[in-house]
Amino acid sequence: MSDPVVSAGFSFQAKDRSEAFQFYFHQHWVRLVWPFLRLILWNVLIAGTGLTMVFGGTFDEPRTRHTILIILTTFFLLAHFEFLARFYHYLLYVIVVTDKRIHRIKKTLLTMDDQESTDLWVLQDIHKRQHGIIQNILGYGSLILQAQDTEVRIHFTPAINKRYAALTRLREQARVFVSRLEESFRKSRTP
Amino acid sequence: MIVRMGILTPLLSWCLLILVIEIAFWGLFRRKIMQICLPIHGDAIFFHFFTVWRLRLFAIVHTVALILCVIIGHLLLWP
Repeated sequence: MSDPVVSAGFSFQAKDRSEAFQFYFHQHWVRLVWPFLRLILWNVLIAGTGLTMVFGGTFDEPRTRHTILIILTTFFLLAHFEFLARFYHYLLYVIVVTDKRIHRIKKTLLTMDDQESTDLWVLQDIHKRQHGIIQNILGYGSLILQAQDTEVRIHFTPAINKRYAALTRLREQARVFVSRLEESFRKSRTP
Repeated sequence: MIVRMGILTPLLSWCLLILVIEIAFWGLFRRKIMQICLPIHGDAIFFHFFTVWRLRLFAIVHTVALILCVIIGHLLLWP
């Protein structure tokens, strides 16, 4: 893969040099189901109208046909570009987990460029929520990360059991690391 | 044939519009995704499939499909 973006390794915005990448994930694919269904519905509607025009012989006047053709093409393209934008937005929402932090990167094509980084060792509680049949069958749900002042909610987390276990393990490792640092700092200060 | 010649201007306009929007979307998307960086080797979850190269291919296929649909639609429905 010669693409510079891919070959750049696991670097991402605001990554600290000392951080070691662990894993990343997007939201569950179920997030795209409704936009995809809507796209199919629009296509069926537009194709149906087009076929009615061809075989029904309802609109024979050229000017009417031109107008209807413009309207149909406009709606067809709007439906497709709306889905494409949603698909790109979906890919631009990434959770990157390193050994020290959780980075929530949320961007849109034009209007949004957010990043929220939470230290793993400050997390007091990590909750996992899976409500409903679909969430349990497809194995996704919400992760709620609680720190002293903040609460980070990560909805539509795929393979939530695996992510939950990994986050809990990484938090313990980060706490051990920080406590060791504090201890060595304390020792160095005592005469 | 004279009637069919009239189809060229709207068809070319639609194709140009599709190309411009697709290129604009891809440019914006690529600019943003550059900062995130999708890894190519990871644990085998579904979305590691979408590398930048494959997404570029997807954008090209999507553009061609849209242009084809618009051409077929116009050829069928043009009076």
